[in-house]
Amino acid sequence: MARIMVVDHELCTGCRICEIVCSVKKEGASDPSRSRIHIVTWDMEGIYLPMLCQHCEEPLCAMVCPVNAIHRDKSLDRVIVDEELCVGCRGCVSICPLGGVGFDINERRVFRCDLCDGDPTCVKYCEAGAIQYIDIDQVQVSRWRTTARRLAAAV
Amino acid sequence: MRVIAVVGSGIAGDEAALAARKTDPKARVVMITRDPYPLYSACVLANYVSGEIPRERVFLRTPDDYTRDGIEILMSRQVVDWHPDRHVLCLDDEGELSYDRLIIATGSRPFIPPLPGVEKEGVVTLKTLRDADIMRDVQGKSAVVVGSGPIGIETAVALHRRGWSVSLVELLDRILPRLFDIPLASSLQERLESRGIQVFLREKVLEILGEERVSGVRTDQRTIPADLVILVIGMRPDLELAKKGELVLGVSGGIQVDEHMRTNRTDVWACGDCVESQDMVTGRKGLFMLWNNARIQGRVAGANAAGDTKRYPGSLNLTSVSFFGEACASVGLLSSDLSPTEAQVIHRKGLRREFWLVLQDNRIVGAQALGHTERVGGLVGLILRGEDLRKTIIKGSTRSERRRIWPLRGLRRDLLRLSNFQ
Ligand SMILES: Cc1cc2nc3c(=O)[nH]c(=O)nc-3n(C[C@H](O)[C@H](O)[C@H](O)COP(=O)(O)OP(=O)(O)OC[C@H]3O[C@@H](n4cnc5c(N)ncnc54)[C@H](O)[C@@H]3O)c2cc1C
Repeated sequence: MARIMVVDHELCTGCRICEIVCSVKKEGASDPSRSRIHIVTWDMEGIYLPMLCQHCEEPLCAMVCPVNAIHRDKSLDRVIVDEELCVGCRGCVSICPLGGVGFDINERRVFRCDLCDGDPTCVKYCEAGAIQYIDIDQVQVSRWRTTARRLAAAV
Repeated sequence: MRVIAVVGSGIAGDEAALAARKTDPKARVVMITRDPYPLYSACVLANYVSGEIPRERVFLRTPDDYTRDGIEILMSRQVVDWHPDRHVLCLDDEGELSYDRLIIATGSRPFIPPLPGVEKEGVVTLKTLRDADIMRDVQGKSAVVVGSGPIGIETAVALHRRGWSVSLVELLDRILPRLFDIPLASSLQERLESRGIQVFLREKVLEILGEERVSGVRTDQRTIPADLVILVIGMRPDLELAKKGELVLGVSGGIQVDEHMRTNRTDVWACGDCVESQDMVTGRKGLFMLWNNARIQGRVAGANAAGDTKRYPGSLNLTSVSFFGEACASVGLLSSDLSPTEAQVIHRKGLRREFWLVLQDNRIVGAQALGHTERVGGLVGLILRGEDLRKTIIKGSTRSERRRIWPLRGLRRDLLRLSNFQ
C-alpha cells in the first residue's frame, strides 16, 4: 500500500526540530537552510506552516526541467531528481508553488524531500504529530495530490 | 493502420509523438525532422558552450529510445511541401508520406536583422546544437552579444567563462527587458559588469564590420572590435510549412489553435514555439516560447491527434534564468507594462537577494526575484486568482489561508502601507 507524507498544519508548534534532524540526516550538519522541510512562520499571528515537496502527480518541476532529470520513482511513489543529469538551473526551484525544492549554493545542486527512502526522520521527531507518514489507499492518494495540484493552480 | 505524422523533433514534437503512441497503441507514429540527431535540450546549450557540461549531456534521447517506444523517426529529412486536401507531406528526398493525422511542431527560428554585414564569417546565433558547435570552434578572444534576453545573457556569460572578453549591446533601457523592471535589471547588470562583461544600453547596432571575417560592430554610439558577433534578439515561429498548408495565424503571428491544440484544418494539430497561446496569468495572447509550454502543448496535441480530448490550460510564463551562481525569476506583468498611476510596487532588497512585487488595484499582477526565486512560483496561484489582497492579508488569518499566501510572509506591513490598503 502506498504511503504518503501528510502535514497537519493545525498541530505544528513551530519548534523546528524537523529542520534540524532533516539537515543532520541529509547533510551531516544542523543547518535549517539545507533542510528538506521548512517551517514558514507568521510570527505575529503565531502561525507555523511546514512545507515540503508534495511529490505531485503531475509535477510542474518535471515540466520545466530542461534535461528531463525529474522522474517519479514508483517504488516509493515519490518525485526524484537524477543528479547525474541535473545542471543546476533552478527552474524547478522557481516554479514550485509550495517552495518544495531547495538549492545548495555550495554544492550547487537542488535538493528536496526523498521520504528518507521510506522512513522519514522528521516524522519520528515531530512531537506534535504534525507530520505523518501514513498508509493511504489510491483513491485518497489521488485526492490528496489533486489538492496539491490545485494549489499549484496550473496544468 | 492509422498514420499519425509529427513534423519536428524538438520537445513539442517529441512529447506529441509519445502521447500519440500512448493514446493509440495501434497507430503508426512517424516523426520527421531536419535535425541530424535525436532530441536535445536547447536550454542547456549555453552550458555546453561554456564547457560546464560535455556535448553528450545536451542530448535527451538516443535513436534507440524511439525504436523502443515504437516511434519511427526520419532524421535529416525536411518536409518541403504539404497537400492538406490529400493528407500528404512531401519530403526533400522526393518521397511522400500519407498521414491520417498531422501534428505540426516546427518550432522557431532566430530573427536575424537585415544589417549590413550579417553574412560575414563569425556572425552567429544560438538556437541549435549546430550553432553551439560553431561557437565552440571559433578562434578568438572578443565577442559582442547583440540582445540581452535570457539567451543573450546566457551566451555572454558562457563565453566569458571560456575566457573571452564580452560586450553586450541592448537597444532598450535595461537588460532582460521583458522580465525585469529597471531596479532589478540594474542589479543584474552590475552583477555582469563586476565580472567584466561590458553592457551598453540604448544602443542600436548599425553595421557588422570586417572583410570576409567579422572584425567588430558599429553602433549609433561607438565601434566595438570583435572576433565573434552573436545575434540573439529573439525567436520567430517557423511557419514555412504552416503557410504551405494555409493555416490560419493568430494576431501574434503564431499558428492559431483552439484549446485542444487543433488548427483550422481538419486532422491537423500544432504545438510548441510555432503556435500562439494564451498566458494563464495575464490572459493575453502571444508567443510564449518556453520549454514547459512546448512540452505540455505537445502532450495535449499528441493525445488529441490520437483521439483524446485533452485541454491545454494556457501557458505558464514563469521565466527563470541563472548565471554566476545566482538565480532570478519573473512572472506576470512588469510595473513598466502598466501606467505609473496604475502600478503599485513593493521592493525588498537584501544583501544577495531582491524581491519585487507588482500590484494593480490591490491585486498582485507580477513578481520578480533575484535569489530566493521560490517565492515567485508560490505567487502564481495568487496572481491567477486575482485576489484582492486587502481581504486576504487583513482577514486571512486561518492557517490554510496563510498557507495559500505563504510567499507574502514578511511583507504584510509593506502591503498595508500601500495607500489603498488603509
Ligand atoms: C539557447 C536557448 C536557451 C533556452 N533556454 C530556455 C530555458 O532555460 N527555459 C525555457 O523554458 N525555455 C528555453 N528556451 C526555449 C525552449 O528551448 C523552446 O521553447 C523549445 O525548445 C521549443 O521546442 P519546440 O519543439 O516547439 O521547437 P524547436 O525546438 O524549435 O523544434 C522544432 C523542430 O522542428 C523541426 N523542423 C522545422 N521545420 C521542419 C520541416 N519543414 N521539416 C522537418 N523538420 C522541421 C526542427 O528541425 C526541429 O526539430 C531556450 C531556447 C534556446 C534557443
